[in-house]
Amino acid sequence: MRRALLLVAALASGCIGRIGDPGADVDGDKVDRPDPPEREVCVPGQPPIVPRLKRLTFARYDATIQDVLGVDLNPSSALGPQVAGITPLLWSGVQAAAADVAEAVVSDNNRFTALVPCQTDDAACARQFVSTVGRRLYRRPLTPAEVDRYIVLWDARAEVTENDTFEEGIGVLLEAMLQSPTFLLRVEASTMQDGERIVLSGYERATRIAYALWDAPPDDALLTAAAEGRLDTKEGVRTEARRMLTSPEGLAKTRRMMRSAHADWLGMTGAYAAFWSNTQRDSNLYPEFSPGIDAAFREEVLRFLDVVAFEREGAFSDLLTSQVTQVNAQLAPIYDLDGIGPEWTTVELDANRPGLLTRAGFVGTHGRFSRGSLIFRGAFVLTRLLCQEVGSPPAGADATPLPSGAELRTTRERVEAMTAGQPCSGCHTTRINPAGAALESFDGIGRFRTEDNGVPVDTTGTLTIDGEAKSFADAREYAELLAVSGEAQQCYVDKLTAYAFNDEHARLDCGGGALTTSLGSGSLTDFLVDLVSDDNFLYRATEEAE
Amino acid sequence: MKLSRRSLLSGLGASVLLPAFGRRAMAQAAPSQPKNAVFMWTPNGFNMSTFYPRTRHNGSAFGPLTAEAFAARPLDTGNEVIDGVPRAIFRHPEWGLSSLGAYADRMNVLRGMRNSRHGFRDLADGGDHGMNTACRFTAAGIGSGRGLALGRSVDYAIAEAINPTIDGGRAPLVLHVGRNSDPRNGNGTSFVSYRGSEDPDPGINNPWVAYRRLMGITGGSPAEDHLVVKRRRIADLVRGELQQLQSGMPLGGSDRRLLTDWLGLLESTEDDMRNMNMMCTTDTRDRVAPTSRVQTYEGRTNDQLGRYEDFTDIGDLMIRIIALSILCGHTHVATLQWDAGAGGPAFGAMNMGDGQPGTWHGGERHHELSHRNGSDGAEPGFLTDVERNMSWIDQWYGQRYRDLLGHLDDFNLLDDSVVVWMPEFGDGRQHHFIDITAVVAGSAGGYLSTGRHVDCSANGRWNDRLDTETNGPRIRAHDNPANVYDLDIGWTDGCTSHNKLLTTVYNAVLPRDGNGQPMGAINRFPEVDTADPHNLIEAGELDQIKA
Repeated sequence: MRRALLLVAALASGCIGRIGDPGADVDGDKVDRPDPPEREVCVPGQPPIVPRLKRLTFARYDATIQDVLGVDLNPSSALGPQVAGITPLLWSGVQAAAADVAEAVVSDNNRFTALVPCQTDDAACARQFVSTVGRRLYRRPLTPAEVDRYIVLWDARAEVTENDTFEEGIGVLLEAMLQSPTFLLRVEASTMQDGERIVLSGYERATRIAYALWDAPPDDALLTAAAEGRLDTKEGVRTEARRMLTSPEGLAKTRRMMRSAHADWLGMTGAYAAFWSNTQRDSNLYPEFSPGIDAAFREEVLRFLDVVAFEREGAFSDLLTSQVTQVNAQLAPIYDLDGIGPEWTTVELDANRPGLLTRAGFVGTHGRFSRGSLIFRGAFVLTRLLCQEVGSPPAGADATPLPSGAELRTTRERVEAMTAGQPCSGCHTTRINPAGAALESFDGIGRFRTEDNGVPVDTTGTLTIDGEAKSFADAREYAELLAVSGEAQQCYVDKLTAYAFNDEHARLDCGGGALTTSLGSGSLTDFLVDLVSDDNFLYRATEEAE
Repeated sequence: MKLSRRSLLSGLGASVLLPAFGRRAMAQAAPSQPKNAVFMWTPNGFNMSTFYPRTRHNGSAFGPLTAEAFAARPLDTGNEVIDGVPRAIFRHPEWGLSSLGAYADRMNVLRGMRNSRHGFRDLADGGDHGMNTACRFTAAGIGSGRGLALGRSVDYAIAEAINPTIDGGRAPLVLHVGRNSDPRNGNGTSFVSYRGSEDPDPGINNPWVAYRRLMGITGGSPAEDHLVVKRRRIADLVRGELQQLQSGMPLGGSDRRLLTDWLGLLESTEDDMRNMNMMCTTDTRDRVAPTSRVQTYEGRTNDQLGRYEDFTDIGDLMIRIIALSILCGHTHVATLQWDAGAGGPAFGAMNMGDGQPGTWHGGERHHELSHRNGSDGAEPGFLTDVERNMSWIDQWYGQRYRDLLGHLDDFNLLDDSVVVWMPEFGDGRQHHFIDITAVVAGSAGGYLSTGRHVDCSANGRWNDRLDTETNGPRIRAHDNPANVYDLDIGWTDGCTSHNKLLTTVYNAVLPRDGNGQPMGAINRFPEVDTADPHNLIEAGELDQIKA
C-alpha cells in the first residue's frame, strides 16, 4: 500500500482554524477541527501515480489547436471555468469551439489548402486528411479502425452538411476530431512493465515532454523521434529536450509555459488570485497608486522571473536574490526611478531589492488599503515558497481592526499585538509574522522605507527553515536563506512537477533527490532538461490513480 | 412577423443550439446539469409589521410554513397603544406575502440578516439607498465618487460559472422595469447588477429588446436539421472512442468516472434534443408572451419605458421572458430589477383600477410613502393609512413574485431553480442595513430545504426581537412618530451578513458531481474582499437553509 496519511506540519504546530468550516465554533474558545487533508506519501525512486486519462489544460488545448491548425482563436474562452474532468458546460463549450475552429479553417483558403493537400473530393483524400492532421491532434498515428470511424462520418456528408460540399465535409471531420476524447485527453495506455514500473511508449513520452516543456503538443520532429525509438533512451530524450529549448520557436514556447507555471506557483490563478488583483490603495498615502496597477504588478513579477530564467540563464536561487527587474512608467515611481517610458525596461536595482519578494509587484499587491500586510506576505512565503500548510484565520479575523495605542507604534507592533492571543498565536507568533517581518521595509504600494510611522522599521526575525531556526536582519539576509533552502527548492520542484502533469499530487522527487539537487546547482533551463529526462518522468507507476 | 421554430432555435446561438443538457431527464447521470437562479429586487423596504408569515411554533416565529401563515387578515389586537404607538395602524387586510400560500412548502422566508456593508454614506453617492442597492447582489464594498459596487454581482458570477456562451460571453439575463440609468453617470442607487468593480449593468428595460434577443429574430441564421444529425453522428463517433478507452487499458477510479461522466453527457444531449422539441417551441412562446403584445414596446424611448402606466405590463412581460429564456436554455441566471433605489412608482398613478385601499396617496411615490410622511426626507410626519398603502405595495410585489414562480413552475423549472426576492432595505422607513429579509423559493434540485420561516441570525435568537403577533420587529416609540420599531444598528452583532445567502445560491446552482457535491463551489461570495473597511462579509454558506 503506497498511500498513507501524512499529518501536516501545520497541525503539529497548533496552527488551526479555517473560515467556513461547518464544524467551526465561531465563539472561538473551542474549534472542532475537520480531519487533516490527505496527502500522498512520495516514494523515492518510483514514478507518481497519475490518471491514464487527463484532460488538456486550457492553455494546452489552445496551443494544440494553434500549433496544428494555425488557428489563433483562443477557443478555450468558450469552455467556462477550468474545472477537472468533463462537465455539461465544458462539453457544450467544446462542441461550440470545435464548430468555430472548423469554420475558421474551412473558410480560409490558404489554411485549408495547407491542411488538405490532396484537394480531391473522395474518401481517399478524407482518409489522408484524417491521418495527417489526426497524428498531430492525437499526438500519435491513428489506428485504421480510428480512421474508419471518421470515414463513416464522411460518408454521411449529405446528411450532416447544408450543401454537401468537399469543404463542409472536411469541416465536419475536423469538428469531430476536436471533440475526440483522444485529442482532449492526454492518454497513456501502455501496460508493459519494466520491473516495478510501466514503460511509456515513445509517443506517450513525446506528449509528456512536449506539454511539460512547451505547454504545446509535440512537433513533427518530436513525433518522428518517437517513431524512430529515439525517446526510448534517457540520452535521446535529453537531446530532444535541448533541441526544444534552444530553437527560437521552442524557446518562445518554453518561456510562455514557464510564465504560466510561475503564475500558478505564485497563485495568480485560482483561489489565491484575488491577492494579486483588485488592489485598492489610499491614493493620499500612495500617490503611485492608480486603478488597474495590479496588472502591471503581476506583469512585473512574471517578467522578472522570465528575465532571470531565460535572459540571465539564472538558477532558482537567483529568483530570490537577483537585483534585476523590468519596470514601466507606471511602476518606476515606486522604485524611485526616473526616465522610464511606457515600455517595459530592464533595470538593475540596489541591494535593498533582492529577488522576487522585494519586487514592487509582490509587496505592492500583498497589502491593505493603507498599509503593507505582514500577514499576507508571511503567509505567502510559507504556503507558496515553502509549501507549508497554514490554516485560514478564524471567523471574523478579516474584519478585526488592528489594535491601536500609544505603545503600538508600527504596523508590525500592532499586528503582533493583535495576533498575540489564542486562537491566532498558534499560526502567527512563530510562523506567519516572522515570515513576513523582513519585508517591513516595503510599504503598502511596494516602496522601500526605513521608517514606519516615524519609527525605524524592524525587519529582523527568526523562522524555522529546513527544520532549523534561522535568524535574519533584513530582506537580503532573508532572501539568501530562502534561496538556498532545501525546503524552498523542494517546493519549487513540486510546483513545476504539478504543472507539468497538471496534477497537484504528482511528485517526482521526494526531497533531496536528483531534481532538487539539479535545481540547487544548475540553471533553470538545465533543470527543465533534467525534469523531463528524470526516470520518474519517463515511466508510469504500476498502480492506477483512484 | 411570424417566427418559426427554426428561428427560435437559431436565436439560441450556434453554441447552444440544442443546448447540451436535458433539464429533468437525467436524474442519475453525473455530473448533473446546472440549476437556475433568479434574483428579484424591489426598491425601499417592506412594511415589516404586515409582511412576514404569521407562524407560531412553541413560542417562536420560526418553523414550518403553511398556507395559513400567509393568509391576509387584520391583526386581532384592539386599540391599545404600546410605547406610544397605536397598534391599530397595522389593522388592515393587506399582507405582503398573502398571495404566496400555494408555494408555502416550496419556499423559505429568511430573517436575521444584515447588509454586508455597514454605516451610512454621503447622499452624493446615493447615501443609504445607494449603499444597500449596490451591495444587495454584490456584497462588495462601495467606491467613493458615485458609490458604485466594488465587485461583480452574484448573477454575473453564476453566469460565468454555468451559463452557455452566447455572443462570445457568459452574461446573465438582466432585466429592468422602469426608466434606466446610464452606467456612465448613474450612482449607487441605480443598479443592482454589476459585471465587475464599478461596472454596472443597468439591465434591458424594453421587453421587445429582451424578447428579440431571446428569439434571435435579428440574426436569422438557419438552424437546419442537418445540425441535429451532425451532432448525433459526432456523438456516435465520440461514444465509440470512449468505449475503446474504457476497454483498452486498466483504469483507476478517476479514469472510470471521467469516461462514465462523458458517456452520460452524450446521453443527456439526446434527452435535451427531445426536451427542446417538446418544450421550447414557438407555440409555447406565443402562448406565454405573444409577439404582438411584446412588440407594442418597439421603439419606445427610455422615458417612455419609465411611464408608471406601463409598469405592471412591462413587469409582467419581463417575468415571462425570464421563464422562456430559462426554458430554452438561453440562460441559467436572471435578474429582475424593479425601478431603482429610493424609487418605485406612484402606484396611485398607475391606473390600476380597484384594490388600492383606504386613503390612497395617489401622487406620492413608493419612496415617499416608505418614509411615511409623503416626503423623500426623514422629517416628522405620518400620512393617514400610509401603513396600509405600504402593505398594499408589498402585496403587489408579492404577486409579481408569485407570477414569476408560477411561470417557472408551469415549465417544471421551479424545483430546479432558486428564486430570490430581496428588497433594498429591511425596514423601509428607517432605511436600515439591518434586518434584511429574503424570500427564497425553489430548492435548486434539492440543494436547499424549503417550507420554513428561518432564523438565519448568527446566534439563533432572532425571535427575541420580534413582536409576537406580527412577527415583525418589536414596536417602540421614537422621537419621530413615523419610526415605530425597536431596531438598533447595534444589532449587527447578531445578524448574519447577507453575502452568505449569495454564496449559498451560487453553490446551489452549480453542476453536481456523482456524489451530489457542487463542482467549483466557493467558500465565500464575493471571493474578493474589497478594500471597503465597512463591508464585513462572512465565509461559508447559510447552513440554515441547506437540505
